[in-house]
Amino acid sequence: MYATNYVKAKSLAEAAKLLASNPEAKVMAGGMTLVPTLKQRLAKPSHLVDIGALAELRGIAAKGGSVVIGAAMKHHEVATSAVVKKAIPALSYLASLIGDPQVRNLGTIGGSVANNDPAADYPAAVLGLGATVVTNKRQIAADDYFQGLFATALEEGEIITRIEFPVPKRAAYAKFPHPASGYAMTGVFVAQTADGIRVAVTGAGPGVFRWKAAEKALGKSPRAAALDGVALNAGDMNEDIHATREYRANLVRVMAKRAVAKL
Amino acid sequence: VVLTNTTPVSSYRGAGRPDIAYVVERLVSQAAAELKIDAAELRQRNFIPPEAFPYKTPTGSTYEYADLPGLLDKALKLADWKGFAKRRALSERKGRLRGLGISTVIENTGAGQAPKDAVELELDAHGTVVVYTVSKAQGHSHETTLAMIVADALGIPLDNVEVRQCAPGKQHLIGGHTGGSRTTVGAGSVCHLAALKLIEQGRALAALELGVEPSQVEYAKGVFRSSESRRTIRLGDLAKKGSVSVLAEGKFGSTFPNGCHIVEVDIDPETGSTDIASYSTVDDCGRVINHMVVEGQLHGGIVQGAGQILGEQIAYDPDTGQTLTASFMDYYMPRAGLLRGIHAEERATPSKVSPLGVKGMGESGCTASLPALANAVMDALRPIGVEHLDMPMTPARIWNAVRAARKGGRN
Repeated sequence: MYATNYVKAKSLAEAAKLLASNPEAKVMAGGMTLVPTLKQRLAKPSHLVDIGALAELRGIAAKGGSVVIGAAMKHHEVATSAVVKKAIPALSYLASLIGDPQVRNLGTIGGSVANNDPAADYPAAVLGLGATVVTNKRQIAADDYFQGLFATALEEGEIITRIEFPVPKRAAYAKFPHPASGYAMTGVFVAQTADGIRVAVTGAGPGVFRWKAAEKALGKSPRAAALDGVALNAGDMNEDIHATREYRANLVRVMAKRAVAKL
Repeated sequence: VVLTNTTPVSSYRGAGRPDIAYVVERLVSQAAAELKIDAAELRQRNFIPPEAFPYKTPTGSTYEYADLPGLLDKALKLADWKGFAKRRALSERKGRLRGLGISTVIENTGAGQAPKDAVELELDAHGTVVVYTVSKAQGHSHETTLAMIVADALGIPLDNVEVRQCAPGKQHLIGGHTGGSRTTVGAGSVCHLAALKLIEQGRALAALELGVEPSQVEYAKGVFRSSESRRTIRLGDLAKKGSVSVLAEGKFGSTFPNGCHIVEVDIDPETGSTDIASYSTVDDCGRVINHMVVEGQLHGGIVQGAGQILGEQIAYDPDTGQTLTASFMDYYMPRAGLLRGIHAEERATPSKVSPLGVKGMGESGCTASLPALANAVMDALRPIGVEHLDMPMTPARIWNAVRAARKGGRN
């Protein structure tokens, strides 16, 4: 690890100011991705601006048809929140599958969504539920937010403050964990919302994506069997030593069917 | 090869045993499948019968004794071998493929290249006995097993025995290193002999103190006494003027633990993932010093084998030589949840190779689990037309095999 300056921000405004005045500074909360990156000397930030304990980023509340989750809420807190369990049980279930107990007690929802790892679980829920990512500057719809491999709509120095999940009629998540890492080899989040069915896929492609052909098929018949034969291009999937494109495409269909069956 | 950037290859738990057992046991199960004979029955028909022991193998080893049919019989009952068809039908109804795998293995343990095993005991005035050994535990629980052997021979509380391994100043001790499942057979047996030697030496010292002949001194539970004297002398009393040391050595040959492992897997053909539904073992490792230590060794070995069968591999980029499995993000490590329970039972036939009657067992788990698990996966997949799979049998590899078989092609 290279030498750096650790600063525990006292307010969101102070954190934003630090980031603005230090172009090489990095914002940090749970550090579940950033710290391993630093340890391997793959990053050399001038400052680590810790926003993990900011009161402005904490809290879970139900508000007018939405569940609002502060960016610094840890996975374990989301997984065990009575509010989330009642309104969107699929979201608390998803959070309970992330990493291991150590990760779930340190990693935050804001950190996961900001990092946008192509195999992270949260992006599937954010996109699948059509959530809104709220930052210290603006509100970004999930459909505009995720832009592929580790890429998001966030600008330099922009900090996620909370995520607003509209409460769906029904939702379910099915995950096939990577045998080694436990990340999603493929995870599919299916939500029946006021505007129709949304199907979001993580782990299989270069970034979280909506399987629109499946949404259309489920719109006509919200049953697992409706997904048989629905178009899915294996060429769009990732391929590595663990899985071929064809295997990942198969997992997308199987996990989507299992999520629908759970609705 | 002069230079390489690949991982150096070295011995690994079982070294030489799991690999051979894997080939032999897979072939036997393949033969059973092709001959349409029950895999347990084919083994039973070909066992060395109990009356043929001691049995000299064509390669020169002599198996002391093994009750292979008795062991198999106990394992078949433990695993409810006969009830498998019913369980397979239940899995089928859920769209899953169930497989039953078995291995019956015997392996060479103990012995080793060192000319002898030496152990030193040091008794202090508190009656504490320190055991110095060359064999060094890396999680093998020597601290418990060797201490129990000494405490048992001396009839003193376990708390009064302390094991120090590879201690500074004890370089004169010679002995086999930890490996080849040999510590209890070798160093353990010498611990026993050393304790007996301490009693004999103590008897002579006590006789002097009591003014009687050594033959008139009896020893039990840390106390020397004689019918000729009202006085008693505690073990620690012998070291009042300075600690008493005893050096013992011995050389013991090979012991042949054996076992039968039976495992059931439940495969999800849609994802290729394998669930270990049950795991039963019956092992003969001779006399058991500590059942918990033996079970711990067995569990570790079994899970180690499961890792190799279901996921572990080191992969390199063929173009650049870059290691692709350089961290646990990519390298499959078996986790506790992989195996939810092991029904482990013993069927001991004591060995006469050493005074303890023990047989080595540190590598029994992986020796037997590798082929048993692979055989279970193959048993699940054979009915749909999969003819062969190599380890690691990852979900992706199993799914590919299932898909190829269902398409009617070869895999």
